[in-house]
Amino acid sequence: MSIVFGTLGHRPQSLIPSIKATENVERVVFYFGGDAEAAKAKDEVVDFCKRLRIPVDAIELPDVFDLMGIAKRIRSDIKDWKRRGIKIAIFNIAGGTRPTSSAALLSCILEGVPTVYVHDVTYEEISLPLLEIEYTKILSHKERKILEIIRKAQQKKPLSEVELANQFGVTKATMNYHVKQLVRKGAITLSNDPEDTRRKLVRIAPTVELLLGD
Amino acid sequence: MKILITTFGPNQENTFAAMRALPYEKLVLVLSEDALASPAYHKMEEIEKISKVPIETIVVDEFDLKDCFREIVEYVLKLELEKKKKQKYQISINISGGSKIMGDAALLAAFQLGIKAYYCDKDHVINLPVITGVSMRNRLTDSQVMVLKEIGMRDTVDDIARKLGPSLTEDTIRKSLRNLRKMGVIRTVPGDGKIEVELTEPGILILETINRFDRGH
Repeated sequence: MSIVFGTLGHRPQSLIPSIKATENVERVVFYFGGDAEAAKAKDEVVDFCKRLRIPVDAIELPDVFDLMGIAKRIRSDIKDWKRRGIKIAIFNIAGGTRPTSSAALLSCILEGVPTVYVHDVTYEEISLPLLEIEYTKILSHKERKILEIIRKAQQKKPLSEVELANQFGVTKATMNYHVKQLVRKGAITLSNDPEDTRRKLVRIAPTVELLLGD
Repeated sequence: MKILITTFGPNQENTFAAMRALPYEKLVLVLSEDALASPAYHKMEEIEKISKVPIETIVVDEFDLKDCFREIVEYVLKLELEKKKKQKYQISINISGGSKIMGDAALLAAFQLGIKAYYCDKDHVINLPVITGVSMRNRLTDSQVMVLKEIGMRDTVDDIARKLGPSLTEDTIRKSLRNLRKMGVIRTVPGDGKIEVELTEPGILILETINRFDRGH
């Protein structure tokens, strides 16, 4: 089974060519929202899919300008389909508002989903140069585990580097190496402990929440 | 030197939001030829003249995502080369100005280059989750890159193995091909009695980008 994902704005033509061009489409999932014109475009795409007997999920976004909210929603849906072992054939990011399109692209980068854009004038489908591999794989297994420990801990109280080393079961020097690498990659930040300025507290950078996902 | 690259178009509100929120000593505008000739651009020049911040431009076809992506990558790699000559740069990209296509191209470039990226508007400064310093080139192994470059547009597995024979073992070549296929960079196609491999559409642009990286390093 393969699914076509897409974002939709006012023009059904920005999504329909991808449905037509993909082999063995068994479902279409697309995101829309905003105004009456977007709702009209949604109806046209749904009608097109129904004529071809393709099941379709038209998902209305509550706020088409909330980039992070849309990215979280789309990413969670992609993960859900992946967990069911379903292949996402393509994600067309051409339609919708600018934050909707960028949120979709961001989700595709993070999840390693093949992504296309449909040219505004020619309707030519353009594949984007993305590797079909989850973006978090850039981090080593150890780094991902360290980030999970930090994230879990900081909901109550952020950990110091020594506490982190103890929890992870490595020496302070080893943890210091990992911490430096993660700071360099922009995944964590260090700050002074207000209760003891000799201690440095390790925190997940806010942006990394989306990187790690649920 | 802190360099802010930002997409720029007729509505400059988001570009101004980025200029207010992000520190910079040089401003680089990604814009179309029309925008370069617009009063908005001249206004921007006047603003920066007062603060004595240099402006540079990356002129792109605002309707062509690939062109926007290529031009941004080319510009950043040129800066990387200068960095090697002891110039110190901290580069960040704002993706919220200009057209949707420009913004998506800038987002893609930031992730592929491993540089900080933001989406700024009047209410938000969103730091996007780029792992800084890790480019698309770093995500492939040296063996994978060697194999990818050898394929050209299309080749048989045996021919690739023969050409790379002295440098890589056949096992490594086959493993690299398997992984490149999994990543959607190549696909197998039936050839003249033998299985052939060819670059996929994204693979062609990935190879082009890697070649740019390697020229720059």
